[in-house]
Amino acid sequence: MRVTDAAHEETAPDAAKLVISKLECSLVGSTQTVKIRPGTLTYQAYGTETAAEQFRCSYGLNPKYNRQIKAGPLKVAGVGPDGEARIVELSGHFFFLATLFLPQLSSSQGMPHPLISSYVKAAASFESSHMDKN
Amino acid sequence: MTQPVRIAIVGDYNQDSHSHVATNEALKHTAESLSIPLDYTWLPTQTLSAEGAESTLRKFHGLWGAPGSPYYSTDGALNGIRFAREQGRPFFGT
Repeated sequence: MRVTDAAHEETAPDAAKLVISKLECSLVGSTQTVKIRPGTLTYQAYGTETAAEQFRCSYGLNPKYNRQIKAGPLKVAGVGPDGEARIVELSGHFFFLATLFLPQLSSSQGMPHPLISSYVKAAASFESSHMDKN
Repeated sequence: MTQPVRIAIVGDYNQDSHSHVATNEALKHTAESLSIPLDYTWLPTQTLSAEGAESTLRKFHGLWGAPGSPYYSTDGALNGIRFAREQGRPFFGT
């Protein structure tokens, strides 16, 4: 979205363009239901429309920038109860996804987290299609 | 396929961080359950703000942005993320 001086409230609380700002209420230590938007890479990974996820964070995308973000290639693929961004993915990219929660905390030997499985598969397919460049 | 998939974890590893340890464990058990041989390496953010970061990053098939902000070097972390975006590497930020 070409905000060259985009800032994070945690490291630059007085900056003018706080694209990442303090959440209205901290999600540290909480589990929240995330609604997954159909038609996204994220949805392909989950195969479900909701997921309970564990959060440890207090900062997120500033809703003030929602419109600007929407206009660009970054898509919100998962939202919290009030529509706040919880998962974003980059359209036009093979696999570029970020979550506000920590899928690694709910992943286990018997049941790896679907987003982590999809990511590992994407890296494996990158590896096999770039053998010549190694 | 004999060579392992190489994942770079961009972040400042702290062995006392539950989330960091869980990141390693998740990669290990996921790779195992998919029967995909996988190696991961943590790349401290300060090393990614220095010269030569790109040739380091080029060796990996995927990048994982680790939890734990603020990073020691925000620029380093952003360099890693930008590399993944521009060079088409799978990227997962948590």
